[in-house]
Amino acid sequence: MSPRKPGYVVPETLAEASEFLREHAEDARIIAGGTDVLVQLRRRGRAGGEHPRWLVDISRIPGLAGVSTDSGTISIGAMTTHEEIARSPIIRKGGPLLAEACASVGSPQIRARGTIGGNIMNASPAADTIAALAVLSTRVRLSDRMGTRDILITDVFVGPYKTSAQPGEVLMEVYFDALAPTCGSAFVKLGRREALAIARLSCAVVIERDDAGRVTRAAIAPGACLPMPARVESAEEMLVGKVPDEAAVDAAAREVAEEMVRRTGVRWSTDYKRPAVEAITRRAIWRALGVNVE
Amino acid sequence: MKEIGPGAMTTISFKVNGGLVEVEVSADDRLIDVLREGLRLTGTKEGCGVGECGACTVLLDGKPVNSCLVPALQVEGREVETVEGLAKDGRLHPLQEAFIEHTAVQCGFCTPGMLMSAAALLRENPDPTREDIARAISGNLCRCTGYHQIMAAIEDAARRIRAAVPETSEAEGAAGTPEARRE
Repeated sequence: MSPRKPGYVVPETLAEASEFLREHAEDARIIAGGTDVLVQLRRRGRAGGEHPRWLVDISRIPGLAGVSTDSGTISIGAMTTHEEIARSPIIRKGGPLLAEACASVGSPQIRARGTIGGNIMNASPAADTIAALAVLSTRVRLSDRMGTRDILITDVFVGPYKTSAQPGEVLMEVYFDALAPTCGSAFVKLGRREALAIARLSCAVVIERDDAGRVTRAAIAPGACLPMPARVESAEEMLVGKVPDEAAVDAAAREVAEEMVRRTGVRWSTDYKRPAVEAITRRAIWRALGVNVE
Repeated sequence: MKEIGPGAMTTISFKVNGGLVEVEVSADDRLIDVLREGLRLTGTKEGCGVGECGACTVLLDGKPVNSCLVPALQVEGREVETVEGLAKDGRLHPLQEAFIEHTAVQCGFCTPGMLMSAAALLRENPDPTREDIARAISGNLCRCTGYHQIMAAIEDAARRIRAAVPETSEAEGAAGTPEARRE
């Protein structure tokens, strides 16, 4: 027997969406580009599971898509697609590593449909954009009919595929300070093959240096290898105040790998992952420093 | 606010290959279901059903998308192009001709999706590099050809399309030869 078919609502305003989501809190699922939700519906249907009773399609709410910039702050609407972000001149200038991360998502077909809001709220531990958003200290704006609240991207996640959003809350936009031209940044991803590969591991880095070449600010976030996306502050601190040399970069990269092991525990894959995390972190740090290494 | 109750159907209208259509859909119908079953446009193939293989690629408002991942209800009022729309006036599209001549079709299952990704590329970029082509078809899997024939066919089709529509700045048909266009 095929599972019960879901209902579908297409709110035209945030208020309508929020109202409906509150009423049907336990039994509604927001759908944006559909690239995750449709796969999940299909898997659940095959497994004999129940569909959510309602799909709430937020794609027709005006004002939720697009990239804008205002006095140094870059905002990206939740419905903005990966393709739009990867191509946006504002992002390529003020957050180039996010453009790289978005360009590495899935395939052209997925990038044309998948949205930044969906990538965040699906809360996959392997989401390509999250590490990049984390090192940009991105904030996300959640709204419901009662008001809005802004939280740090890393506080969105409470577990794999679980967020801290309340029933009725809709992710409206994300925003971060544009990187200064003196900032270096990089996003490095390791997949099983180039296109369509879910990230096995990734690493995002932002580094700011003073005129003497000393690191004044470092942000390092590995992707797809922590239970919840996070920056590794202990590794960042190993770079700050130094003119980075090989020893300092190696030490910071090693620390990211050690931190992964501390957070995930030793697993069968640890012997493989530890050197891989260390290597892509080292590569990302050097690239952020303007040195292209393989 | 449009609301379709669980299990209910509704009618949507959208353009397919230039013509307006109306179809009945339910909330969990996907664009590919509407195309293949509702409209009998069976050129579009379903491979994996989860957006990994690209066999179901069609153009939605000009952009290649996996029709297995588009809820039918999101297509209301929009424009879809399928492989059936490529041939015009009984003549194959230059991409289709080139695919045949370069043996870029073997089992043929990936071909409709591959053609649509290629068509989207050539509309945006009439003179793509090999790398542009590889990127454009990176979401389309082919298990037969090894891709080289497909890339050669797309390159050749691009050449033919450019030659058929000579740019005024490139008189004398110079656009037709690869040597001339690398200047």
